[in-house]
Amino acid sequence: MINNILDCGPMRLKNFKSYIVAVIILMISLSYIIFYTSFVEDYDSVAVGKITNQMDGSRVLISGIVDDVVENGFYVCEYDECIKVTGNYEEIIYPGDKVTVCGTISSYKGQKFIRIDRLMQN
Amino acid sequence: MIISIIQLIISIFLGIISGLIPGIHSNLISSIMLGIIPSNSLIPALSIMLGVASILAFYPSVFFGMPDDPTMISMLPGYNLYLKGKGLITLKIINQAILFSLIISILILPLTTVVYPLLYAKIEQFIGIILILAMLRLFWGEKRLLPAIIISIMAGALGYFTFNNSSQPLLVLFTGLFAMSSIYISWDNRSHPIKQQHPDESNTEIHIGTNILGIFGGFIADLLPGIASPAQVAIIFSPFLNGKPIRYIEFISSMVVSHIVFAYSTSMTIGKARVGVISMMSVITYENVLMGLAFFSIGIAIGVLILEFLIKITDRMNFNMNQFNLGVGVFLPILIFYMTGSYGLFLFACASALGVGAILLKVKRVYLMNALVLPLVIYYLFGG
Repeated sequence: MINNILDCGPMRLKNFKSYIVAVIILMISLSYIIFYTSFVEDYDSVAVGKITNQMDGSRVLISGIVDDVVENGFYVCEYDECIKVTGNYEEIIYPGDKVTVCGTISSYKGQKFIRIDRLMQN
Repeated sequence: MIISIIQLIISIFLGIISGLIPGIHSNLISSIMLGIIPSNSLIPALSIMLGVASILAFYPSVFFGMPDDPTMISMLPGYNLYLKGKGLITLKIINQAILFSLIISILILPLTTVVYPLLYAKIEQFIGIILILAMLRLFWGEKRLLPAIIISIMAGALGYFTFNNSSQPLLVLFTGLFAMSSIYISWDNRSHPIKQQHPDESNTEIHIGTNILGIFGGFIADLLPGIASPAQVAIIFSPFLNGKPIRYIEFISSMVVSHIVFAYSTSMTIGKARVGVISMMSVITYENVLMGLAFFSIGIAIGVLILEFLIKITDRMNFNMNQFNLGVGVFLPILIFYMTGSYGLFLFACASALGVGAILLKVKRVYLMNALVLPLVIYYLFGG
């Protein structure tokens, strides 16, 4: 029965222009990358140690090394400065991973932290 | 910018080198790129190189019968089609199947991120047994059973020693077992390229059912241990392909792409990528997956366009095949010696002898795949 399915007429693709499909795929992929890049450009690159100077609601991009992984997030450190970032990444992120985080600054009881909007591992 | 223009051009160029030159596997290129590409551009650069290399690797597999990758061994029927003058038609069908598979695989990718963790947890303990069954499937209906068993055992032993004693086991094994034996086969019987039929609409249609089956094959391949599974899966599915080489090629082409696309998914969900290049990228979040796939798709599109170009100019290229074979035959031992030293060169010589031995004994070269399967069975059943 499977052989019949594989060989039956209506399930064949004719006149499939590979180069046209390839160019369309190329354009769609490039569009996504441009969209992605513009998304990242909305975030200001900030050193981890300077986060405390930022207002709540600011969109920031930080890079660093994962330190402790806790229940609702993990700590990202750059040199000796660390900041907590929140998001459910347990068993995905491990201490020592190099990451880039796009996120929004928030604070709780005077402590600044970053809510993750997008996480990339370097 | 996530990748510079220079890095982009280097990635495409290395993809072309990796795809077209037998012996230069994408894993080898990736390990070189790890040293020259900054870590934040690694996913884009490796993905685009992988896309270009995956497509162009079909060209030497079909035209020279020189696979340098476990999956490409399944493309040996493509070489037979070339000998019958259907090489260009085969490449045209490969191009179409690859694009079809890419689109469908990306569409069902979100579903796989849910299914893989569930399935993997259930089958992990049975992988050794599944591999033995897959290995036994090879012998089903074999007329030259004894020589096939002898070659399989010798290949398995060689694989075991190579994996335990060489820094580049895949390079040593595949260039020896397949590329060198291909040079041996083609040395006397064709010093010039064979005239090829031109592809047209009537002989290049693709079968959706076969391609869907190939995509499913790629899905299965990502569940089983990396290096051996794609070719094994192809063998398991071969009874459903009506014994037609061209359907088999379509199936493999679809499987190659879906295997890579789903490897991004398994890398994120179960932490295991069955494709060496992807395991080097550490794809861990959806953002990594989408970014990687966007660049992989660009690589595929560029690879398809280059392959279309090669289809157009191949007939006009009139180079002496014996000179090409001689060039590859000299280049590969030098590369192996440089990469792995004298012991690697010794293992490469053994692999070459075994590859030629399989041909002299009239044993299908797919049995040489046991160089990969037996070490894996030993690992999964006995732990090393």
